[in-house]
Amino acid sequence: MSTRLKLVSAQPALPEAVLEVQGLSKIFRVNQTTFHALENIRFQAGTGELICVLGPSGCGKTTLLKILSGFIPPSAGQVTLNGLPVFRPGPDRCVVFQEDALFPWLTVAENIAFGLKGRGLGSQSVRQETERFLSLVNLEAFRDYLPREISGGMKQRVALARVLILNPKVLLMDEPFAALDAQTREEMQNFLLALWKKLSHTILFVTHDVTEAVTLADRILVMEKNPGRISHEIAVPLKRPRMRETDAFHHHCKHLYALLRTEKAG
Amino acid sequence: MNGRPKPYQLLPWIIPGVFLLAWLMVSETGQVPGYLLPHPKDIGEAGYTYIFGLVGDGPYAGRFLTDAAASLLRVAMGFSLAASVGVPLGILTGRLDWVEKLFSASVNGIRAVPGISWLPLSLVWFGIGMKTTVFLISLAAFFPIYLNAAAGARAVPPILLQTGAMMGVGRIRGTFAILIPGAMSHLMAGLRLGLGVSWAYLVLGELTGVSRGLGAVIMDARMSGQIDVIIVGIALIAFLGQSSDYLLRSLLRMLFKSARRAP
Repeated sequence: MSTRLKLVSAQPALPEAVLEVQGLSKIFRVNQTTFHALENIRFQAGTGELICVLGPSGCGKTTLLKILSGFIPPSAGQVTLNGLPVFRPGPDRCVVFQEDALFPWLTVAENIAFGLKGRGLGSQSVRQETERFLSLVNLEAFRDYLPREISGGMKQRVALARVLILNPKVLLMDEPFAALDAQTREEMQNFLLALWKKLSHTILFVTHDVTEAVTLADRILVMEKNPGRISHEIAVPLKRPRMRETDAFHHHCKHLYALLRTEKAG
Repeated sequence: MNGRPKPYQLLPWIIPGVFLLAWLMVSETGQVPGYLLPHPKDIGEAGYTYIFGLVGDGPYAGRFLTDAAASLLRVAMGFSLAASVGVPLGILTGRLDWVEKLFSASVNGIRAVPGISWLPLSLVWFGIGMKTTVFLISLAAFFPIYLNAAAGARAVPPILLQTGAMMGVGRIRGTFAILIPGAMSHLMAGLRLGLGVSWAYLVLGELTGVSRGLGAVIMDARMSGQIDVIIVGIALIAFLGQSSDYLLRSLLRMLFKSARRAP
């Protein structure tokens, strides 16, 4: 497979790499059997790039994200952020989880402000920042609501705001919209793109949804499973906003579906 | 609850009402003799004398305040002792494997001993009175507080703790801003159970012949055959127990958002 690896690093004006992943492997040992969750993963993410990691369930996407965020150590290889190795979780690599991970006892505004508190900032500037991000995610009217009182889409917007407020170097998103209904998911994708345009964070977005990947990504890392590795790297040079009804969009989707199918057959 | 129709709000009063009515009936018809169950009117009078009477007018007249104060102090001391050890130790047990390993076998062993069995020993150790009562209360209240705190700390969703780690939240803030709020419903349940047990063991401790306290009054009244005073004592313990539970809940709600905003 690796012979078919298509490198896109020849693009003009390559942005400086923020995140670098080199020779990353993860082996789980359960009883006597070993399981290669990830094998020799390597890629770079440039400043302001939006990269999607696309693959079937069980290909190790979430494991990859957990290693990048520092929750579990790799078996081999290393992750560097701006040249410095990653060992533990930290606010420079924030995660938006798939499931609801808001603090249920805090209001929308308090959830957003949570990470800023205890950093020695004055309460005045915490309040200002919270206001700014409340309005960025269009939730001013819901500031005093509790998570259980708002919809799934709103919850994920809060989850986005509470990590963006920390100004992470890389934003890691683990199928953040997978639990939403189709219509809300599309809204959230557009919303994320609008936000990304404003704040231009580096984003690594994990998904199993081909349409979602083509809608969002500058570049798609296609993964296969057993062992989990990157089989293809596809650039998506479509202009934004991307119309799903266009031939070019369909063409990309078809291509990706074909890639995912051959993997399944192999 | 305020939006509910009137009959709904009457629901809590039905059982006490029916009970009182039945009591009145058996007393009025003389089916149960007064020396076993006095007439409600007599209970009322005994209660009035006990609470509002002038000290010296009768054996129990006007003693309520001093008795209640003595009992409340014992409960407060025993319960605070149990809570101040049970909550931190429980949280540590729920989160750290080695603490769990260190304590759980011993705690379960001691827990298997009925609280009453400590009475003889504590009488020898601490004598009759304050110390024995506080010892029994804190020992008995410790277990529900400790076990629920441990269960609560264990049940905090890992993703909330991961969120804290990812945001760079340190241990201390993580404990107070994530772990404790996340375990709040368990903590509250354990503290309320512990407070209830405290009242039970208060009476046990006071039955041993202390001079002041609601349990002491009950025991004393039995000796002098004043059934009405026994019943007054029981009713007042019920009332104080209920009020202290309400107070505890209000206090927790005042102090913790997570208690206030529990679903």
